[in-house]
Amino acid sequence: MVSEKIRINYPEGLSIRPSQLLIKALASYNCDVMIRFGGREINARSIMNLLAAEIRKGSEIQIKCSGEKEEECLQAAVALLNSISC
Amino acid sequence: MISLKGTGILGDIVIGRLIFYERQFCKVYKESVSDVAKEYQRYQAAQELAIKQVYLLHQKALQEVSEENAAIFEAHDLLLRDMDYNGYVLDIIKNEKVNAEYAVKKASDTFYEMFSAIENDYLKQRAADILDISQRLLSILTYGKVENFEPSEPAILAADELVPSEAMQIPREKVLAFVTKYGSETSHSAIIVKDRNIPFLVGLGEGLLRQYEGHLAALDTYSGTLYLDPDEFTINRLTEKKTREEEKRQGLSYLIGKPNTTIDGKQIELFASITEPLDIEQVLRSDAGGLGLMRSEFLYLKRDNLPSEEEQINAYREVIRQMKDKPTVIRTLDFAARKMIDMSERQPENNPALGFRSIRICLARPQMFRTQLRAIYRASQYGNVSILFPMVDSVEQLKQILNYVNETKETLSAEGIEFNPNVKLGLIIETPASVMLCREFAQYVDFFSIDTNDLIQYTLAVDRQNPQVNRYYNTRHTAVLRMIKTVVQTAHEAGIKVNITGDMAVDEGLLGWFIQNGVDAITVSAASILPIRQKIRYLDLSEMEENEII
Repeated sequence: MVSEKIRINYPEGLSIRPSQLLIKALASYNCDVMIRFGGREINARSIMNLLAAEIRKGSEIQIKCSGEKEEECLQAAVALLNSISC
Repeated sequence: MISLKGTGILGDIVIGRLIFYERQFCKVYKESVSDVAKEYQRYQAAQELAIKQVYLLHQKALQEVSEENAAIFEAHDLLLRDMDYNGYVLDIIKNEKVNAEYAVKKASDTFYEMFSAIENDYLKQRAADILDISQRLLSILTYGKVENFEPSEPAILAADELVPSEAMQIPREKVLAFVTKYGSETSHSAIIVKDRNIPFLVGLGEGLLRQYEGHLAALDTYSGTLYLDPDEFTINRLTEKKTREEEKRQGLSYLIGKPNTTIDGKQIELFASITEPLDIEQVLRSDAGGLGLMRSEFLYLKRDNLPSEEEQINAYREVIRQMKDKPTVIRTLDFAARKMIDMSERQPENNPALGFRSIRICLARPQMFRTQLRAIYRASQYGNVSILFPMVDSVEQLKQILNYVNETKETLSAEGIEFNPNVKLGLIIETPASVMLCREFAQYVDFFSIDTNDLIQYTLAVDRQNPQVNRYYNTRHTAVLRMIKTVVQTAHEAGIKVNITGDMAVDEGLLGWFIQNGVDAITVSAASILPIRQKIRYLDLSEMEENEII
């Protein structure tokens, strides 16, 4: 398992648009991807889960990948979330 | 007629029939099933079809709305594929051995609740997206397809709430506007409706009753109002407002030739003021209804003698002729003694505002006053002239002035010189004394002109030039407003008109109050005529509360 912490800085937090982009980016990997936030583990491939977690601007989240190509998947997820400006 | 208030999206005015949006109604029954695998299959087939439909909707959206906003249907695709949602549905089918419809309904309710409970307003709106995809799945499971609602004629479509796919699928030409009981301007539906250029009123509340189906409705998204069974006055008013809002987008020149009427049909005259004849060009371009104030001080300034009668006639005539038959109001000399060259040697006054000035100088120097009166009367034959006398504080003083006027007319007649004997006479109301005496004054003159700068200064005892007190100079002081109200009422009782000049005339926030209280005209600089006319034309006094107007 590999993990990395990042801070969400979008005005609307991890809302529908960033979530959508994240799910798309993860689609080409088969490993498990969870987000640790506020003491909970969130399935990063579920838009329901992501939205319901209410990850607001300024929150720190930990992305955890385990399984096939976990390191590559983690880097892709981190790069994507850092690239979003909306 | 009843009216409902909500939040308007996209400024527009629409009048049409109200039709309620008919959703395919899916009554969901809980049924026990023995073949769980078959229900799984039914559900998966419905899910597949829903995904296809949402894909097509996304394609349609890409053509009609921005890519960014069309992305909401990509999100619907993700929701339909969401493992949590699907897992929840399949778990219910398996654990409770029930039909797929029931499982979808239960999943929908659960997730809808979950999102509705979120405090973040933005995320709360996402509950509508859950509802949207669940509705689609239920329709497919129940009817095998999704029947899209379409009114037979273009109509104002009403609903409790609108989901994004409904906002997207309805043909643009069939919808005049959307109105909903609930919802907010940040919902995805609202964003899509706005992008499709459809006027939308959200949050109208429980008053949006089914019983109004087929009734005439009018909506004003500028003010956020829906009128059900609107009366003729409201329809005319809104039609007028629509025209004017469209005009607004074209700059100011369209206002030339337009009357100064509010949306609800109230009118006021707009006059310009000038300081010297040169300014007349700008007045003509401004389309003012007349010259509410032609100052005459320019004749007496920057020189070492008094202006001759001929010199004055030439100056007045130039202006009067150009104003044609529009009223031209000439004010007799109105300044402090120190400004006159032959008086500058006098002992300086401690308080020139309360000193030897204006009509006091004229009455002390009859020859100078006679010359000005003669010149104005002689120029009066060239147009529509009135004379305005400043600073009059008693009836005796007024009678003195009128004696000079009559004497001037008699002399001119005797000399056989042409003039207009019916020149109107007016008084400036600028001291508390003149307000208190306006009933008496009204018996002798044809109009009043309230100089608000002086009235504020003399009433509130404030010298605006003094930085230590100028904050007390207030164009909306109740004492002054009450005085104006009194003067207007008294003047109207006597059948004469009232004009307003000075700082209050250009305080746009007072326009509604002036019109409401029957002020006949306001006089402003030429440059302010069209902007103020525009302001007047967007006023709707029927929409204002009494206290809102001040």
